[in-house]
Amino acid sequence: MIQFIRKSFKRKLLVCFLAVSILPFAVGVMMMTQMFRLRVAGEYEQKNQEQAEMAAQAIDKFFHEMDEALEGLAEDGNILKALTSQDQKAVSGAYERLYGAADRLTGTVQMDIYSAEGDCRLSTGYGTGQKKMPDYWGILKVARTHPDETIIRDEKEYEGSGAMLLRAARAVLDEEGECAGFVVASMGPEEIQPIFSGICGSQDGVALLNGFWEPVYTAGTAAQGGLAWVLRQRVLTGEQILSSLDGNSLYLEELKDWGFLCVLFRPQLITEEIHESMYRLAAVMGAAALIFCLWVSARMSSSLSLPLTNLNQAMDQVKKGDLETRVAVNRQDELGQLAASFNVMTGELKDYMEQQVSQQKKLNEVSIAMMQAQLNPHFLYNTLDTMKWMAKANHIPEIAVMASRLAKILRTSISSDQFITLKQELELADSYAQIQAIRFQNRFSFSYQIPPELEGCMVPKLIVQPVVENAFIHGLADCDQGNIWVTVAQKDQDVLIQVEDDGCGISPEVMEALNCRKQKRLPGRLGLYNVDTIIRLYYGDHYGLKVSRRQEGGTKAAIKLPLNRGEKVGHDN
Amino acid sequence: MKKKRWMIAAAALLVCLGVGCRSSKSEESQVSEDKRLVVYTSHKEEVYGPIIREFEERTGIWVDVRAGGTTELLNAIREGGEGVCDVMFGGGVESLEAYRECFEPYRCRQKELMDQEFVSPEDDWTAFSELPIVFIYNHKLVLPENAPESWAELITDKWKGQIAFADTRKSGTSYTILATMIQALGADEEQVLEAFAAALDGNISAGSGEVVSEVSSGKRLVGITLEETARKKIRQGADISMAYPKEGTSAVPDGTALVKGAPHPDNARLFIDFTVSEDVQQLLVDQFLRRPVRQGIRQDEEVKAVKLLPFDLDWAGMHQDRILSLWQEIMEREQ
Repeated sequence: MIQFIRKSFKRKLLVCFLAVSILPFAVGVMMMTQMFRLRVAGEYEQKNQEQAEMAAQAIDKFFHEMDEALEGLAEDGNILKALTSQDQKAVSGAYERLYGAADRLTGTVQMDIYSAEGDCRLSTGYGTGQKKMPDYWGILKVARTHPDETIIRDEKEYEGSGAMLLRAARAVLDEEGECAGFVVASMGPEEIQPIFSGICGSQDGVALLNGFWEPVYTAGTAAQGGLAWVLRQRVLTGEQILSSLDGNSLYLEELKDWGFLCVLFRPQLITEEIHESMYRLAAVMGAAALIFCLWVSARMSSSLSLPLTNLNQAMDQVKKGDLETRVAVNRQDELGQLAASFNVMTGELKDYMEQQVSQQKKLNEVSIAMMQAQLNPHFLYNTLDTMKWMAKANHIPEIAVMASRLAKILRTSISSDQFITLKQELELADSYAQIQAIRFQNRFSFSYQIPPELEGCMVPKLIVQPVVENAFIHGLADCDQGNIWVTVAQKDQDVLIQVEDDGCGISPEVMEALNCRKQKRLPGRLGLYNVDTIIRLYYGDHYGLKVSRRQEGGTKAAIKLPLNRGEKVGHDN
Repeated sequence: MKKKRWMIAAAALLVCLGVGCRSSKSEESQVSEDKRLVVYTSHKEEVYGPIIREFEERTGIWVDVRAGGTTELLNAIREGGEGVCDVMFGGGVESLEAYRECFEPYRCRQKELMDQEFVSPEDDWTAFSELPIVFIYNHKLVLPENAPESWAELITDKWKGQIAFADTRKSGTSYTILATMIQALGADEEQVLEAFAAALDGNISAGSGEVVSEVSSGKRLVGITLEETARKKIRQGADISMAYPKEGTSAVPDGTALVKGAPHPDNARLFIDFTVSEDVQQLLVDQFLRRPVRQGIRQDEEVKAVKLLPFDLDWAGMHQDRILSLWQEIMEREQ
């Protein structure tokens, strides 16, 4: 996948655009949702916790009132008297106290007096009260063993309504401190309900649980479907007890004095539904943003990458040799400039190519012409050969010599070799000198000297002959008698060829022009200049031709070359 | 390096968001294992409710109760494997005997104070209460002098179609009744069952509770049920009277048994001891109108002495499946 994206500039751009636009959006939405949730839920939770505290306080207060009432009754002389004697007056006095206490509580709380054996003696209830309670069991047993406390416990009414009862009992002690009986207050759901009214709304629920998390009283949402029992199950299975239950948030308050627990059920503020719709909205917004972003980024990325793709394709075309390729330029930015430059470049490339082709064509024409022209030297050479033999046959030795020498010069000059041995070069110069000797009736002498170890030294052809020719034409021009001699010497790694004459000497202007290599001031002396140029082209400026005047009169031309025994020079092609 | 830093930043962001999702509710401590007990009970809630509540209050042990029919719970114990249930509370001891492979012998601490008649010979179970089987009749429709007197009478045509008897598939008591009838009459079991089926004339009550209500409402004239059930209904004002069969009757106790592989065996033993403690046995008499299995319990109401058969529990336990399927077969034939 990453490889796939990396391969295309357009895809890279697309991904970057998407990331840059969607990521901040998604993170922002998530953060906002969470912040909203936390903040609102936090406040709501705090309020609910306070409400749960209020509920717990209400029931706690009720229990304390109950405690006070029962304590008052247990210490009341009339009650004790009614328990210990059959005195009617005491009984009615005791009833008065019972009704009074019940009235102060909620009016409908049933107040009973039980004997120490558990027989019901007095009761504010109308016949429904249990006539006997086991004194060895349950609340009376505890009340007996804790005579200075009010015991509040839940008990289930199995006969009759089947409702949970909340019972409070306190032992009545006689003068000796023995248990003479019990004051028992019983209340059902109807009596407990008013305690929570005003605290719990219609949406709420409240559950009063005993120490074993068994529901004693439930109201509102807590009463539905045995939800309160789930709490005990959670305790037993070790689940999170107060995690939300059936769309309700739970708030727990302990009634430490009495061993009860009060749990408030409040509808969850942010229910799953709200949550879901929040996320759905976010998802819809995200999707819309995604589509928009996809559209924009697709357009952007193709607008950016299309010229590049076109350019790339055009480049491919050019690579294949199609120099007619042009890219459409329809924008002003850098990409437009790039395209224009490309067009200019291909145009120039095309021109250059055309020029090259035409040059090549010309070159070819020249080559053909040269090849055609080569016929002539051969013809000339053969003719000269014929002339030589005809002269020999007719005993005209000068013509034979001239023809054979001219043929030799001609052969060397038309041969394709660029380099010849120094010996050959000097022989060539000698041939030329022989022809000139015949022309000028031996007025001039020519000689050369070459150490045998330098005979095989390779030099560019026709570098000595022009210098010798120059000596003949300019050096000895106005003389009747003259000598030209060539000496070859090795000096370090160089070869020095000196052509000297004893003629009239070279003029200082020409000498300076030659030594300073100024071609323009050398009309008619191109031969020397060309020699110098050839050597320099082959070997560099360090080598070349130097001309000087001899003190005895005459001219000395010195050719300096690197020593090169046999192998060809790198420049040669 | 750069990539790594990005990844860390992204991870941190996600963690922040994730933490935001979690609610900050406090974790409550679980009830420790040594303060737990799992009780399967076939008793009615009015019986097990106060006993378990009191047990919890006195010991601080949390009791997880599963209530249901005897057979259902015993099968659950057998199939549920070990480590699930601690105590089977309730069910006739012959049923407990039949499932004895699921139970671990336990001798309750006050065995010597128990009625020796109701002591398990091999301590497989501990009796809870004595449950004599009695006849009931609607005293508005049947005169006391015409009241059913004997088992023999019930398999004649005298009460044909007028006997309330619970379905054996629902009621464990019904099997005890059949076994008692067979033993009381001493006749061939198939004959007895066939005759009784004929006397029922295809009328079967859905459960033990319906037996009393059908007699009380006059739908049937007589019924066979446990004394305890009958007494309770009589106290609630049902129009029925009890009659004790003259051949004698069985009083198969129900019991409590320690399940093999119990996860909380110590608490289970504590609970079994509690069921036969003086307080519980006294409550049994005072509140549930049952007969105790412990000596020295005050009986406030006048309770008639019951002529008891020498009921062969082992036989009843051993032949339970066979007799029940035979009965089922006969009933289907009758239909």
